[in-house]
Amino acid sequence: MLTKLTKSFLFIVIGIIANSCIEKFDPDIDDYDDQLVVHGLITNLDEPYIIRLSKTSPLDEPEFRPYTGATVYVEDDEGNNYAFPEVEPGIYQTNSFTGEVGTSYRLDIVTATGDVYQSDYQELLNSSDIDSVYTVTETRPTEDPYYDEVGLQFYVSTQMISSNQLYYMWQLEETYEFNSDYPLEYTYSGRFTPYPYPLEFFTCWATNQIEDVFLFDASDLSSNELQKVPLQYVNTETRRLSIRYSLMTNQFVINEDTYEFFKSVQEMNSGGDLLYSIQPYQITGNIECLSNPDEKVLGLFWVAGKSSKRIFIDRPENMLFYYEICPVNTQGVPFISNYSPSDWPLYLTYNNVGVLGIVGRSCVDCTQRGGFLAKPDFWIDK
Amino acid sequence: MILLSLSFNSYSQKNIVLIPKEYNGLNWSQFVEKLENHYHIRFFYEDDILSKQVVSIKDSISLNDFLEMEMRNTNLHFLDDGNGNYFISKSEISNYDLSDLFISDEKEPEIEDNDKTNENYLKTNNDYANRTIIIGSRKKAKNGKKCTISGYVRSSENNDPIVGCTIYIKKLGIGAVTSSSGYFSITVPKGLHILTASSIEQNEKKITIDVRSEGTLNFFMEKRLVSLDEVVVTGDSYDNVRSTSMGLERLAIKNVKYIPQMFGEADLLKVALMLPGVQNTGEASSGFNVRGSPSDQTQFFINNVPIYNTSHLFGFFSAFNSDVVEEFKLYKSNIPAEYGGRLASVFDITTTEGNKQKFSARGGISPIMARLFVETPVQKEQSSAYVGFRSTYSDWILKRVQSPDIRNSRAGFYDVVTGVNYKIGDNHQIELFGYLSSDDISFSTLADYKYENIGGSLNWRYRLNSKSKFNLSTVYSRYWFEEANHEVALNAFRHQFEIDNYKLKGVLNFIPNNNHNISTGFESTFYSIQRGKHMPLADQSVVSAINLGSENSIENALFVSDEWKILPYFTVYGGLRFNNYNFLGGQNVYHYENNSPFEEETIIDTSFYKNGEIVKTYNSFDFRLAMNYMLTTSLSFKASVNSLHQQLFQLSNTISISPTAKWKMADYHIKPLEGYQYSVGVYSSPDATSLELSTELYYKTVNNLVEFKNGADLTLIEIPETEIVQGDLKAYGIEFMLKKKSGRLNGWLNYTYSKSEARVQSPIIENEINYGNPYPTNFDKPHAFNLVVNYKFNRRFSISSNVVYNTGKPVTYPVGIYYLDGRRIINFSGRNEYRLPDYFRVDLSVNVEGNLKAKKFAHGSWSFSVYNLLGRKNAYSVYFKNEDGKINAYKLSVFGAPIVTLTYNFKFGNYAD
Repeated sequence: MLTKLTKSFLFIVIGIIANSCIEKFDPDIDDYDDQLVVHGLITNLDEPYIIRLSKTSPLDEPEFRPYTGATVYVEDDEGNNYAFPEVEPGIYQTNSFTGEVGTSYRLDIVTATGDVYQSDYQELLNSSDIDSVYTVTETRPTEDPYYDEVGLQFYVSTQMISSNQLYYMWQLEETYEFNSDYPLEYTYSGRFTPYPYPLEFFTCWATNQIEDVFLFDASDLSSNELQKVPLQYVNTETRRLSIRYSLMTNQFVINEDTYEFFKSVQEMNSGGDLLYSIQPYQITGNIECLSNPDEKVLGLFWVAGKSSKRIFIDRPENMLFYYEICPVNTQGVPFISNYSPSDWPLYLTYNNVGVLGIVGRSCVDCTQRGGFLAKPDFWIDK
Repeated sequence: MILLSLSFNSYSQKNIVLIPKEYNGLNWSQFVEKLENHYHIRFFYEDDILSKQVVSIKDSISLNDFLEMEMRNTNLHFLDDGNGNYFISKSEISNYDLSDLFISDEKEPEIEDNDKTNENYLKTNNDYANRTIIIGSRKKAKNGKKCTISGYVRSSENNDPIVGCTIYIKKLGIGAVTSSSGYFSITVPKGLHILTASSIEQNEKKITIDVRSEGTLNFFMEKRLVSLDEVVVTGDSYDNVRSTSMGLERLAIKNVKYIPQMFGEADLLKVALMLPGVQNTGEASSGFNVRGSPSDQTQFFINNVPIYNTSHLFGFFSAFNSDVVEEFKLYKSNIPAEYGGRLASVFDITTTEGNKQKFSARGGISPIMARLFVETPVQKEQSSAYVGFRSTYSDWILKRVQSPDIRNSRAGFYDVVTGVNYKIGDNHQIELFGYLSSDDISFSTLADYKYENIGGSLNWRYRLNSKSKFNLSTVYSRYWFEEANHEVALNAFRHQFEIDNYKLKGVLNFIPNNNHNISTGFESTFYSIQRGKHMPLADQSVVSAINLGSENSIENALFVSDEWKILPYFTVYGGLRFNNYNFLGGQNVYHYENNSPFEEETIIDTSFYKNGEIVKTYNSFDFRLAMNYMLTTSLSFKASVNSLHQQLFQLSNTISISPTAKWKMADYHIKPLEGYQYSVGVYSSPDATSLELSTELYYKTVNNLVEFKNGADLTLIEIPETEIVQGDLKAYGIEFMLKKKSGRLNGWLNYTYSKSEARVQSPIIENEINYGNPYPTNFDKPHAFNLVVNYKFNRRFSISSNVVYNTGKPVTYPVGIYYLDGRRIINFSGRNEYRLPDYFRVDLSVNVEGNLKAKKFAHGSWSFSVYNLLGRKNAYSVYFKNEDGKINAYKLSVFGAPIVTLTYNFKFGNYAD
């Protein structure tokens, strides 16, 4: 009937906390069917325009599966028709016209089986020039709490010229010069042969399209300058920045629908926030099947004001690189005759103290690492 | 009339010797308390007669001699009944008069049939309360056979009202349940009856009453001493079988103390997830999905204050301090008419009332947080005040997580609960209550989140007479969040959202007789939402400030309900609620071209409504119907139909609800949600067992479900109707529950089969989700099995375990790849076409109590608990990354290994204290 004085303390002596974990996972997916995929772009530049028609491919065999035999043409709002003949399977191309700012364009496709597809009208917006593309040295945390990676963050600054240039997209293409780890000094195919041009496979250039697209919505901005919009980040764990690096930035002034489309692409490809990931969905573009409205068509026909800028970056100073360099097997040389002839030719080089050793081909041949020996036309040496 | 104690002398506690050192100088209440603590004795007296006295003991003296002496000095009388019960009174006492201590309105010596009374007494041995209590007097008796008895049931421990205690007369098949103030009223024929009182935390009590006229019956119930084995959910065996309430779950915090939990933190709401029909979308999700409904269709109240976000730290902890929470009720099928505005369920959380007798404090420290709770009388017996505080220091855990995003995050939160209760006379009580829960989370270097629930209520309870009472509440509640995003300096922004509501609610409860329980009242709520303020954050930021403006509405409701016992074995509950919802200006309302989607391009006209002007009114009638047909005294069949409307909902396009999901009210274009639920069930509580079996079948539909269009931008929705689409939801299921409420082995086991499916159709393709085809909701988990079991080896040693299994939640998987200009893009399946792997978890805890000595300064206990004993990596989500030209699937498990916690608890006093 009366309260007893109770005072209780909860005291935890040991608390071992487990980590959350992320691991690879193999879902059982069995639901696949072919869908038509369309991609087409018209710009304000005098360049060949390409419409690509393909079919979706299963997850485990990703490939571009061309859709051939279609009749493809673009129609503008003044009634002009431009045919896109098929130049390669699935690639329909023309350079018979140049996009005009202010004109709207529509894509029409008639397949060999008589199905008709059509996009909506898209108005071509004016392009705006890129002010600058530049880099800033930045570090980033990694999975290892005691180690941060270092690298270059690329930024772009540009200007909006008119008030309808509200949505921006940047697509990037990188080209970099890099070296093999060693010159090729000897080959061995039963006997040692000095290689006549040790540096023949030493320097390469590699070109890659950057998978990510970069988007910016300027509709809420108060200023008409876009400054320091982040593009890609390149760390020093690879050879990309090791000698000289070039980045081609293509800037597109796009409309809201195109922005939303690529925003969805970005969202759906990134995996998103760990805890609050958004509901995934099939991205619908602007192409409809007129002959069968229930058929869902993937992809987009878009028009954009395009401008480009290429920059070159030398190997950053005072920055350590962490890519692996091939070991040189000097101990194996006395026993080289024991190698099976099926492994011939063996490649040999001098290690850093001048002792001859065996190395793998990719250590002396940069083409093995995705490079080409020919210097690209646009390349400007340091 | 000879004292019956003579025959029980052997049980008497004559050998209690009082030592001056221990007892001298105490005041009476301390003296009594100390004695009660140390010996198995109990004192009964009216508080005013002894409270001012100071005990003076100069030499060792036996208790009875001391009392004898003391009483002579003070003109009081005492009686020792030989069973350790001591009665002190102003007047001479006999065993018959003992009942007077419980009966406030009549004292009248009665000549009784001695034999009969003695028999009653002799049967009951040590249970004091089992004597016949005379109610009223024959003189006062009116013509007619039935009399109404009313009174209060209070806790013998701290005088708190016992809420939800069932008062039941088995022979007559009639009963009543105590209200939140412990009040009950029951109408019985005159004569002798055995009345059974039972409640969750108290020992069942049988009282023999002799009813002679209308009168009062106040009594105390004792706390169950051994709470170790308690994992009991519902009040008592009769409650579930006899009441018309369906799908009502009750859980008291004390009863879940030993259930193994994450980080050893007793969390009532997490235990709720082990009840049938209650789901969530994973470990890190706020909110509950009750019977296949989105979480925004469940309303949370803590002492009448609505809470908009019930969790701390991304949903890992509930926002309610376990020291403060007394119990919660969850209504999931028949929602009483006094609640409206949410379709799926109501969580009604009740806090402690505060101790009106004595200062008391408790607290705790865990690896995650620390808490302290203090309660004290302000004026003894009249008023009490309490405050509870809880805060975290969990950063060190986040630092141990591998992911750099989490490692560099900071998480802070705290919550405060406070209240004052004041009793004015017998008939008035005023309660003031305040609640604050605050989170401040910094997610890596990318974004900061702050969110806060704040609210308060002022309640006035007025007991008009023995048959009716009135309760008036004024409530204020606010939820706000701020997101600061500095991922990109150029468009770094700060975004704020806020919802406020002001409510006035009055409920009149009237029990004219045993066959009717009538409740009627009104509710009026003013809502105000600040839809979002968007501001630039850093100097470099060129984000322009945007104010999305505010929304206001007023929601009025009138309700009436009656629980009508048509036949002793057939009860019907009927309720009606009229909702009047007004969406108010100042507001721009856009008008769109006919038959075209709501898009900025299709706006043809705009009309402006002035401040306070009614933009749109929605009126609706809700009805509630429930019935209970008792097939036998321990088996009943129930059915219910509910219709409900919901004007406030949450906007979210994430799979789990994040703290920054905004609330939105129905407006000119977006219609209120409308729901129907039909349930039937069979309930049984076989006699002479502590088992309870039940099964319920439900079917529900929801119209005007709110969903986002694919790819909608959530932060800055300038015109909501352009981003929102409305659809339908359909859910059904069957729930089986088996409970064993006491004994060495106790716990519960349940299995639920359920489905929940949504569909958003529209003539306009862009407005459809999943191309207009039905899809399972994110929380559709058809098979769910929960086992909570406790085995007590002896008073010092027990083991508890949970086993949780459910079907993996639905998920949208990639089914193909395609290329756009050389870039790979993932093509996804229809919405929620696939499922995550099944969820399975076993938890275990071992509890060891310290020694059971009666005389000790402090009592300790060890609790060793393992959450996710098998270390199973249950998938919280699966996501796909486009890496080096390959699509890789990743599975995120929030807890990938067992979580082991060893807890040491101690409190002052002995085991039973």
